[in-house]
Amino acid sequence: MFDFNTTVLVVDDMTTMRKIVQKALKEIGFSNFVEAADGQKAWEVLNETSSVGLVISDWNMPNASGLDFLKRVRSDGRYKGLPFVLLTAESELEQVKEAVMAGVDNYIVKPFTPAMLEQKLEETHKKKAA
Amino acid sequence: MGAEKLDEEKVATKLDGDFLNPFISATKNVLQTQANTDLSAGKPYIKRLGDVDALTEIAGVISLTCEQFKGSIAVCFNSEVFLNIYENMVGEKHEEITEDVQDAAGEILNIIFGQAKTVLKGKNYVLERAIPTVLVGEKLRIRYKSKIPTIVIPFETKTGTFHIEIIVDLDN
Ligand SMILES: [Mg+2]
Repeated sequence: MFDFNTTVLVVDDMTTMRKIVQKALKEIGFSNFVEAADGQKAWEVLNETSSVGLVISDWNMPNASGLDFLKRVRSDGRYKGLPFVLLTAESELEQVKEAVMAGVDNYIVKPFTPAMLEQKLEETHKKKAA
Repeated sequence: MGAEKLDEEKVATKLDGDFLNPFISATKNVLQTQANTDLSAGKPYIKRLGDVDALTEIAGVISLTCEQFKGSIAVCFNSEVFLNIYENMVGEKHEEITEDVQDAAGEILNIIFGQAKTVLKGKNYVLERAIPTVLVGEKLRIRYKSKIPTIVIPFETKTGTFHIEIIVDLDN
């Protein structure tokens, strides 16, 4: 599993969803978080926070979407290997293909339980370590 | 009176179980999964002009647009039930509905809509993508006065009931 001391960047335009994700991450064992409400802010926060070791990001957001953010992250050498998990609605599963092409590591569909998120993170970590 | 009956018939023909059931299952699934809240669904009914509304203090609303009809769906809560679900979902206890917690009503409906949309696609209802809004206070009262008839699906939780309302725009 990821180092629980790492900082997780949680990105979603809905305050409630950012809180839901952080509550689940706390239950899993993480305790350091930074957050952003769109892809543009997320990019700024990422550059200001050197301890970010995992990104969990929504797709549909104003200004810059999760995909825009992902592409920006992957195009920057510093973040090539940064674990990036997409948060998506069930009706938007077609987006996952596009995200995979752009270099996403995994995705989780809303609604989810902390156990479901934990499993996705385990998978992601294993993939990254392989 | 005759016109009202006719409207109800029109609503009933446009919205059968095929359309309603995916919303019922999605509501149960979303609240159980995301808010750890068990619930049971009651029988859907048509709300008529003059019927007393269940107390609604906050509602998430999304428009429903497909080839067959236009309308909207709302998930309606009183504050006790809403704040209880919010606490289960987010882990924060609140005594009243403030701006901080309001967007949860939209997000809950958004996830329900996403699930139902996928199932409905398989039944030839192709719903357009839509963004939820949240109604509280005066905006809620306006909505309540304007549209009738409405299909109501009641749900029972440990803290009380909430309901889903589907309004069909009969001009279309
Ligand atoms: Mg979003």
